[in-house]
Amino acid sequence: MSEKLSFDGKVNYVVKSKPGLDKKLIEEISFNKDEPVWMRELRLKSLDFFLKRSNPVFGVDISKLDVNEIIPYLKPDAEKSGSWEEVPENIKETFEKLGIPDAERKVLAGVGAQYDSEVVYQHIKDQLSRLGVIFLDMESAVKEYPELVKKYFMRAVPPNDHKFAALHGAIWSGGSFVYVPKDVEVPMPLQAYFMMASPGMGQFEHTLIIVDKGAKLHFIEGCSAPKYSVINLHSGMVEIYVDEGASMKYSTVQNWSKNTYNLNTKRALVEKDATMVWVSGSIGSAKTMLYPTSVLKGKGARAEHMNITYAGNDQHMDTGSKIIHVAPYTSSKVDARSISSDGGWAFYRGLLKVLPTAHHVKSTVECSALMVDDASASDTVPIIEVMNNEADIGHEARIGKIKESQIYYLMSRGISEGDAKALIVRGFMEPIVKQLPLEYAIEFNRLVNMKFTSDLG
Amino acid sequence: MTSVEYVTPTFYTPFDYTLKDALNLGNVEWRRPFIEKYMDTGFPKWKRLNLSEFFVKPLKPYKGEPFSGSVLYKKSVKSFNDDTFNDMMNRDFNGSHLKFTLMSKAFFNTGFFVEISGEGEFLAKYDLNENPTTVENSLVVVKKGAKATIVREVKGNGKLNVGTTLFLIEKGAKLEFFNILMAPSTPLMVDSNLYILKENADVEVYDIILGGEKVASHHRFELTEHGAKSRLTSAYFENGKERADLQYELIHEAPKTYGKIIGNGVINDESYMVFRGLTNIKREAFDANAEESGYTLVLSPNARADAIPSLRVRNHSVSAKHSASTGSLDDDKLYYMMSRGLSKRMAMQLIVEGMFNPIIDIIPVDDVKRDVKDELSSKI
Repeated sequence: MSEKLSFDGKVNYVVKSKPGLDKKLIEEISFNKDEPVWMRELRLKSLDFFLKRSNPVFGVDISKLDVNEIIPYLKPDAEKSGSWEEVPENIKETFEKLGIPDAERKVLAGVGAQYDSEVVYQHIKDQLSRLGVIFLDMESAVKEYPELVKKYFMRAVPPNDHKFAALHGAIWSGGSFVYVPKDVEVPMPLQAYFMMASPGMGQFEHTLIIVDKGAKLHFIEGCSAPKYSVINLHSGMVEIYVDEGASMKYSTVQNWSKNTYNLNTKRALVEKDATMVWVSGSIGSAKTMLYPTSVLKGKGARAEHMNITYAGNDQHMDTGSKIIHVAPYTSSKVDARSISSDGGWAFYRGLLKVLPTAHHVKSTVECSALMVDDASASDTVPIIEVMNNEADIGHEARIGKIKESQIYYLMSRGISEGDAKALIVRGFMEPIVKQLPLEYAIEFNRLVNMKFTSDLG
Repeated sequence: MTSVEYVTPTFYTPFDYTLKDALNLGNVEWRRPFIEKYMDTGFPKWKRLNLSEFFVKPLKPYKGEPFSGSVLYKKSVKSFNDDTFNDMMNRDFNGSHLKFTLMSKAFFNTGFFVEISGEGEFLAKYDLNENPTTVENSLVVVKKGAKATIVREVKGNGKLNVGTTLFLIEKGAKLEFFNILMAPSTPLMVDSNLYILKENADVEVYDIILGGEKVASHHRFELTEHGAKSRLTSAYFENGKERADLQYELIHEAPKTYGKIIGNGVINDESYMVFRGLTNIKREAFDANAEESGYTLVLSPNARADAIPSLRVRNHSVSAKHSASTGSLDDDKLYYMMSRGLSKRMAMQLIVEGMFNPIIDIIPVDDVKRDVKDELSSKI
C-alpha cells in the first residue's frame, strides 16, 4: 500500500514560507489569507500559548519532532476550482496514485479535496444549497459567514487547551465548514479528503461542523499521504456542535505515511437529546495521539465511540476516547479495538468523567486488543472518574492472541494458516469496520490480508 | 520505542525530617545513606489525594510491644548485620512514592524482620493512640516450602503513619497476609508493600482499609519465577471527607505466572476513592494469566470514585483482562429491602457487611476480627 502512495509529483509553489515560527510568520499567513482582525488575533494569541506551553506529559515520544523544521504553510498555484475540469493536471495525477476511483471523484460533488494547505476542489451540490446546508472550505467560510464562524471557531477546543491545539490555532489552514440548518436531514454523507504532498509539510486543517436543532449529518474524513523521508506533522482539529435533538456521525480513517506525527484534536459538544457518533480508524502514521472527545452538555445527550487502531512495524499509536458527562440522563458507549503486529505498539488511553451534576448516567467502555506476535506491544489505560452516586458505569478490557484452536479449526477446513489468521483478525475488526465507508472498509481488509498472507508466503 | 510517562511533580519543605530526628532512634550510621537520599528527594504532589504540604510530626522510639506470634522475629533495629535484610533494603522500590519508602528506611521507629521456615503465624499490632507518629520498616522472608500467616493491624488516632514492608517468598512457599488499616482521623497514612515471588510461590493478600483521612496504599507483586501465583482482595469503606488512593501492581516476569486483583468497596459522604490496578506482562512471561476487577458502591451524591486500570502487555500468549464498575444503591434495591421490613440504614448495613464479611470471617486472629467489625459498624 505504501508503495502505491510513493510518488514524485512535481508541484509549483507560489509561496513557500521560511522555516520558523514567529509573530511575523503568523501575520504573513493571516495577511495572505486576507483574514478579519479577530482571526489574526486568535492566531497570535494561539502562537503565544504554543510558545509558552510545554509538551504533553504523556503519550508518544515527540522529542525528535522540531516544529520549526516543518514548513507550515504552502500554497499550490492551483486556484480554487469550481469543477473537476479546472483542477490542475499534476494534482489529478496525485489522486490517481492515491487510487481514488474516477467515478467517485466526479459523482461525489460534496467532496472537498485538500491539496497541501489549500482546498483546491470544493463543489457544493445543488441539492445541498437547496436544503440550506453550507459546505465550504474553512477559509471561504471565515469570509462569507464571519459571524457564524466567529461564534464557534475554537470554542469547543480553546487555543490554550494543549500545546498542539495552540499550534493549530496559530497556523491552521484549510479544512471544511459545514452548517446544517434546523430539522434538515442531509441525505448523503459529506466527504472531505485531505492529503499531504510536499516534503516536510505540516497539515493543520480545521473542520467546523454545526448541526442545528433536530438536524442530521454524516461527515466522512479520510487522510492519505505519500511517503516521504522528511518528518511530517499533522495537527488538525475537528470541532462539532450538535444542537438539541440533532444527530451527527463523524467517520474518519487516517492513513498518513509512516513518517508522520499525527497529533490531532477532535471534540464535540452535544446538547439536549442529541446524538454524537465517532467512528475512527487509524492505520497510518509513525506516531499518533488522538482522543476524540464528546462533552455531553444537555440532558439525555448520547455519545458512541467506535475506534479501531492498527499498529504495525515501527508505529506507536496512542489513541482513545474522552467522554465528559455534564448533564443528567446522558449515556455513552465506547468500543475500542486494536491490533498490534510486527513490533507495533497500540496504546488505548481513555477518560470517562461523570460530573456531580450528571446523575442517572449510563456508560460502558469496552477495550479489546489483539496481539499478533511477541514483538508487538499492547497497553490499555482507561481512566474513570465518577463524582456522584447515581451513575452506572462499567468498563472491561482484554488483551489476547489468536487462539491456536481457531487456526487449527480453519486449517482443517482447507484454509491456509495466513488466510486463517487474516480471517480471524477481520472478524475481530468487523463490527467497527462495517461502520466505515465502503472504500475504507475494503482498504482495511486489504491491509489485513496483505499482512498475513505475505508474512507466510 | 518509548513513550512519555507522567512524572509526579514534587515539592520540598523546610519542615522536613533531618539527621537530627534520627539521633534518638538509634543506629544512625546504618540510616545515614538513606537519610541523605531522603533529604535529596521531594514529597510527591498528589493530585487525587490532594497532598501538597507536609508538616513534621515529632519522632520518638515506639512505645509498647506490637509484635506477637508463633515465629521468631527480630526488630528491624536489630537486623543490620543480616545480609538478606540489607540486600532487600537496598533493592529499588518506590512504593507509593520514593520519598515515603526512604522515610521508612531512614526514620523508622518500629518494624520487624521475620524469617519463617516450616509453618508460622505473626501478628503486628500498631497502636497510633500511644504512638501518633509511626514509621515502620519491615521485612518478611518465607523460606523454601514454608507456610506463613501474617497479620498487620494499624489502629487508633495518630498523626502520621508510614509503613514499608518487603516480602521475599521463596520457592514453593506460601504466604497469607492480612493488612488492616483503620485509623480514621489520622491525617496521612502511606503504606507500601513489595512481594517478590520465586518459583511456584503462592501469595494471598487481604487489604482492608477503613480510614485515615488520606490513605495511599501500594502493593506490588513481582512474579519473578515460573509458576508464581498471587491474589489480592481489597475491601474499603470510606466516609466523611476521607480520601484513599489504592494502587495494585502485578508484574509478570516469568512464564505461567498468575495474578489476580479484586477490589470492592463502599464510599459515602464526601469521600473519594481511587482504585488503580496495573498489570504489566513482560516479554518473557509466556502463558501468563492476569485479571483485575474493581467495583465501587457509591452511596452519596457527593462521593467520588475513580478507577485507573492499566494493562501493559508485551507477550501475546497471555490472558489479560480487567474490569471496573461503579454502582449506586438505587431506589429499586432499597425499596425491595425496605418492603421486607428493613430500614434504610439496615439495608445499607446489610450491603456493606455483605462485602466485608467474607474477608472478616477468615481473619485468623480473634481480637483483630473484633476490631474490624467494631470499626465497620461505627462507620455505618
